[in-house]
Amino acid sequence: MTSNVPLLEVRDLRKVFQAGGGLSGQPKRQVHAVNGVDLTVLPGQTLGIVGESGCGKSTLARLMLGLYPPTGGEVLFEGTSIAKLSRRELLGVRRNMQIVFQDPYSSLDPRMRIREIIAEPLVTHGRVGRGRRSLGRRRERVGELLEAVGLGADAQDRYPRELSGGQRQRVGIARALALDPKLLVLDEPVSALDVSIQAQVINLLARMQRERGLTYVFVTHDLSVLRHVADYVAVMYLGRVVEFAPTEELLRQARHPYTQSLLSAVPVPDPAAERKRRRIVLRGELPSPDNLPSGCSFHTRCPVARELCSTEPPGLGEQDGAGHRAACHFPVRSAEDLLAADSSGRGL
Amino acid sequence: MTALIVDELSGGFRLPAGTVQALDGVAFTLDEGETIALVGESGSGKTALILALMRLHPTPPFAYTGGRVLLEGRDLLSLPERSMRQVRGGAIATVFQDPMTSLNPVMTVGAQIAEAVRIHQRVSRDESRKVAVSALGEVGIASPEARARAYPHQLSGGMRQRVAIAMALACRPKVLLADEPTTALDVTSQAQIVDLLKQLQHRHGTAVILVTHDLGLVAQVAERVLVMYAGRLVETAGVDDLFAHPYMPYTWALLQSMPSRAPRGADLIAIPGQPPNLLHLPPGCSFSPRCHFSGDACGAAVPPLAERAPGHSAACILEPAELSKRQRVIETEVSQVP
Repeated sequence: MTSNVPLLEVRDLRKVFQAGGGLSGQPKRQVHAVNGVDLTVLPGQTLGIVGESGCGKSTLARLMLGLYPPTGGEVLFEGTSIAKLSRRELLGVRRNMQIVFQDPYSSLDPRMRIREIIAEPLVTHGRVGRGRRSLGRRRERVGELLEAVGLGADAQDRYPRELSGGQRQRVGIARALALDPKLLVLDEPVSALDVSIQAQVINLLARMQRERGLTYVFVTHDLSVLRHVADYVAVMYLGRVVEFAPTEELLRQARHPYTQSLLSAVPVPDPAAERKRRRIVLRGELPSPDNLPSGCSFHTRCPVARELCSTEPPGLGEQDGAGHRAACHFPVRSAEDLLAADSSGRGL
Repeated sequence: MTALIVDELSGGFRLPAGTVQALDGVAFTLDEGETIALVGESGSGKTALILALMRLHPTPPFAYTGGRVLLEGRDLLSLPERSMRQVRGGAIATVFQDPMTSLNPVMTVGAQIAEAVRIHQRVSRDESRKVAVSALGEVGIASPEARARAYPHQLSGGMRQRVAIAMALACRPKVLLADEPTTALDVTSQAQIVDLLKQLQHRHGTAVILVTHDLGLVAQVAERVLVMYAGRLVETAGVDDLFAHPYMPYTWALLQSMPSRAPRGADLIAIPGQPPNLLHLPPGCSFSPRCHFSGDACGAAVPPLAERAPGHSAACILEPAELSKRQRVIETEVSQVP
């Protein structure tokens, strides 16, 4: 399944939102949501994008699908820049890239029946007819999709409010799969679900990927989910990718101090290990994306920042080969490096 | 010393469609300075229990049907509302999930904390202001005098939760009920808040009930764990015992469904189906329709929460030895799937 020709590629992608101004009575501000991101996604693989609220991961996901026009840079799907496509051509590409949203409560139209929700992309893209005569064909196709995601045919005539969160998320996945896309962008697909239901949905996504050779971009704040599903992980902070590596490599030896502190903050379900653990607790607050710090944007909270970090933005440099990159002037070897800096008083 | 005794507490919501038995014979004790975690899926009754302890449910539709909540020898359920108001925020304080909705948006945070202090202690306005500022300093807010004049919307989520904690602890409660206090926060803010709660607890000897669905957080902070399912406690144990050998299939399944415990790429052991509708509970053990090990006997009667080892109780008819044998079988099976 895997080839080395990227299915999706983003180059120096940027998005600036205007905030304030107008009637809000606040001064106009430029919010740099995505600030120069380069990434490639290989067919059949799962790229995980992780970061905290406001890091730009959801904006990046929407830019990848062409749901927002970028402020700069470009998105290439199978080698073609989607910005250059005509409306008709874009429709053809859209068929191959679909999205599943976080909140299955707000992403399904409450006034539509499940069969209408799932049939909508099929009708829009001309796979089945819109009229009464095609009803049988529509029901058949919707039934197949519902079965694939583990819902019974009796779900067809229900409304979203009659389903649980986990069932709704299955509907969201069935809708995304309706057109047999090549790429699924999953924006926090399990974050709103209980852990038991989360496991059902993760298993379902893994099975769909195996059976259909799908490519995933999996956006989440939860590193433990990515550990389980992703081949590669990109860590985002304030609109930039600060580290990129194969998942196991990233978890074993993260080089960026921010990645280390993220890993350190996640509690592990093992009381004995938790008692032994020393945590890197980041100081201060996330800076605002409308007023980014100079140099490396993490330097204001970094335990090992030095003078250079506040003046010179670091590039996403190669680390020990094997596709591991980190944007840091002074990459760390382990959490110990950061804890040592903390206790020597240079950090906190 | 015991801080709080909950004795066979039962209650439910009387709705037109029938009675929802939200709490069914919940019993446990909380020692001074201890941290108990209360875990379970959405709808298992965790928050209903916290609100019932504080008598914050509107009655009707909620009605207590039995049991006692003993704090310093007094049964909170039989106190007049006037005295209960002194208990809330005094001897027992709460921190809720979303600090944006639990703080007053049109009052500065300093004024809110000062107000809480004046309700519970006979102090002057000036004095209560000083207490508020020092409470903000104690939760690690930089320049607390200036921040006391801020409104909630001017603070970040992590900051607001610090304010909520400052307010809860300003009157030095014996018991703190923290209902998903870090769920709305990012993981690095969560680490800060958990750190803070632990420090303050050590300093003041506060007993804490932490409601959470995050078993990682449980491992990190709790000494004992109460597992709730469909309004009942189904397992109670010390944190090490619970994670090492759960005696209730529900607890085992919850642990197995965590992605961080499974081998990479293997299927997770999910809990099939949904939590039951509390209006129509299945007969016998309410977990049996979703249980990996259920048999005919499970539908016959509700299994009582029985002690299976010192300090470790579970509501399951299977013997612990038999249960762990069957758990190993499934764990091995799953880990071998490519």
